[in-house]
Amino acid sequence: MNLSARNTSFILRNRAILSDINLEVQGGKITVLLGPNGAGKSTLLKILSGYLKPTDGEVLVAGYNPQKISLQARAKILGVLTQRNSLEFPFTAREVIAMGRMPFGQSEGFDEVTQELLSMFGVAADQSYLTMSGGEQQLVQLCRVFAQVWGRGSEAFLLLDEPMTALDLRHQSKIASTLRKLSSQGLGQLVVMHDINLAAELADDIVLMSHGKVVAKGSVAEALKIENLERTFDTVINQLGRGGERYFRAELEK
Amino acid sequence: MKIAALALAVCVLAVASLLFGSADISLKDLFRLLSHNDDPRLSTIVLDIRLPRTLLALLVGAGVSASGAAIQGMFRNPLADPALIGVSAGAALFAAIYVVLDGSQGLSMIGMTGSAFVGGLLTTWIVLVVGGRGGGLSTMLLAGIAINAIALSGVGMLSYLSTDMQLRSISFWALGSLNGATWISVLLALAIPVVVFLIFLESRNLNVITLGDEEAEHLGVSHQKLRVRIVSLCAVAVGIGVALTGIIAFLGLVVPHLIRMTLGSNHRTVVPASALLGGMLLLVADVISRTMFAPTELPVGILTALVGGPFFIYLIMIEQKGRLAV
Repeated sequence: MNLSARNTSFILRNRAILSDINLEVQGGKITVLLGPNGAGKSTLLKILSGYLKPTDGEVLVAGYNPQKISLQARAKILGVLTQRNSLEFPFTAREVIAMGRMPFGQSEGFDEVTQELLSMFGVAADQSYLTMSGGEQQLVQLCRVFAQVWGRGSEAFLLLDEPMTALDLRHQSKIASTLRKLSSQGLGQLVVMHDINLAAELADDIVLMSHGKVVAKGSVAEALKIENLERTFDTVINQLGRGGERYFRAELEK
Repeated sequence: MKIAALALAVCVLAVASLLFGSADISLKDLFRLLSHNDDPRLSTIVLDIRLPRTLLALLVGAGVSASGAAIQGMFRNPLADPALIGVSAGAALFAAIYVVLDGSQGLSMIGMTGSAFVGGLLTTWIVLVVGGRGGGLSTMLLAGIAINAIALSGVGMLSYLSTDMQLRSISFWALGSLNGATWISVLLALAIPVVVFLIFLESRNLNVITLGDEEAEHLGVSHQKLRVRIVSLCAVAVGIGVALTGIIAFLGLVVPHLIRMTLGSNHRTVVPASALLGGMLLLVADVISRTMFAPTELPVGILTALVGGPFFIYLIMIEQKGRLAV
C-alpha cells in the first residue's frame, strides 16, 4: 500500500503554497520531509491527509482519494499528528490517548492498546493534561496517534508533523525506535522534521522541500548532499565525518 | 457512582423543596398527602403549585447546564456560555416584540413562550449560517457575540418604546423566574431530558472535538456536522427553558466548569453530571429566592447571577494556580 501525491499544487489567495509536488510514501518505509520554515511541509501533510483539497493534481491513500472516502474509513487507515495543540480541558493522559481508539469504537481508555502505550512510554495515566509540561503533552499526543495505527501494520499510514518538538533526548530516541518498529511491521510513514542528523539516522527516504517545491528526493545518501541541503535551506552547510558517520551543521552567520 | 450520588441528592432536594414556601408544610403533611388526603388546600399547594415548580426547576436547570457543557466542549473553551449561540438574546427579543405588539393586559403564556422559543431558534439559526460562512470556530463565536448585541439592542429599543406595564413584563421575563410554573409548562419542558439524552449521545464526539477541528476529522468526526447538531440541540434545550422561565444567568457557564474541576473532562460524565447538578442548583436557588424575602419573591435569575458571578471568578483563580503549561 502506498500514499502518493501526483502533480499536486495548492494555491491560497493567488499565492502558490505548493507547486507540482510528486512524492510517494511506501508501506514499511519512513520518509522524512525536510525544509525551511514556510516551505509548505505542513500544508502538504494536510493535503495528503485529506484535510485540505489540492487545487490541482491528485492524492491517493491506498488507492483512494482521501477526500472522497468517509471520515470514519479514513480515520482507520491514517493517523495524523498536527503541529497545533489546542486542548484546554483537564483530560487525563489516559483519556487523551484513548481518543486515538475512537475509530475502532474503544475510547474508554482501558483497552489493550492504550494500556500498552501508557506503560511503554511511562506516561502517568491519571495526570491531568493541563498540568503537564510541553514535552509531556507532546508525548501524550504522539501516543494518541500511535494508538490509532497500533497493530495495523501495512493497513495504515502515519503522518507526523514535527513529532520530536519539545521532546528530550531520551524520548526522542524512544519515539525514533518506535517509528522504526512500526515501519518493520509494514506501516508507511511521512515525518516532517527539522533535525537533519536525526532524519539521516531514521529515514529510508528523504524529501527536501523549499518554497513549495521538491528540491531533491531519494535515499538518504542520494538526497542528503551538501548542494541539495544548501539549496533547500539557503545557507552554508558543513559536513563533518564521512560515510555512515556524516554529520551536518549549518555554518554560523558572521 | 458519583453520578448516582448526584441523582440521589437531586431526589432528596426535590422532596425537600416541596416543604419550603410561604405556606408551612411539614414532612408529615407530605406523607398524609400520599396516603389519605382530606385537605384540598394541601393538595393544591403541593401538587398544583410546588411540585410543578420543582420539576420545572430541575428540567430547565438540567437543560441549560448540559447545553453549557456541550457548548464549552464544542467551542473548546471552558469559559463559553450557551448564550453565545444567541438563543437567550433571540428569545428575549421575540418575547419583547410579542409584549409590545400584543398590547393587551392579560398576556397569553402560550403566546409569550411560543414567541420566545421561535425567537431563540431563529437567532441561533442566523448565528449558525453567518458563523458557518467563515468556516472557523472563531467566526461563529464572533457572529454569536454580534448577533447577541443586535438582539439585546432590539430589546432595549422595545423597552424604550413600551408602556410602563409592558416594560414591567419585559424586564420581569428577562430576569428569569419560575413563578409561573404550571403542569403545562412541565409538560412542555419534558422535551428537555430527551434533548439532553441526545447531547449525551454526542459525548465521545465532544471529547474528540476539544483536540481541534482537524484532529477531530482525523479521528473520524466531522466538525462542521457536529457543530450543527450540537448548536441545534442546545438551542432547543435552552430555548425551551428560556421561553418558560426567562433568562437564567450563569448556570450554563458555572455548572459544567464545576463538574470538570471535580469529575474530570470526559463528556460522558460531564454532560449527565452537569444536567443533575444544574437542575439541583436551580432548584436550590429557586427555594432561596422564594423564601428569602417571603412573601415577596426575588426573580431567580438575579440570584443565580449574584451568586454565580463571584463564585465563577473564584473558580477561575484557583484553576489557574494548578496549571503548568500555559
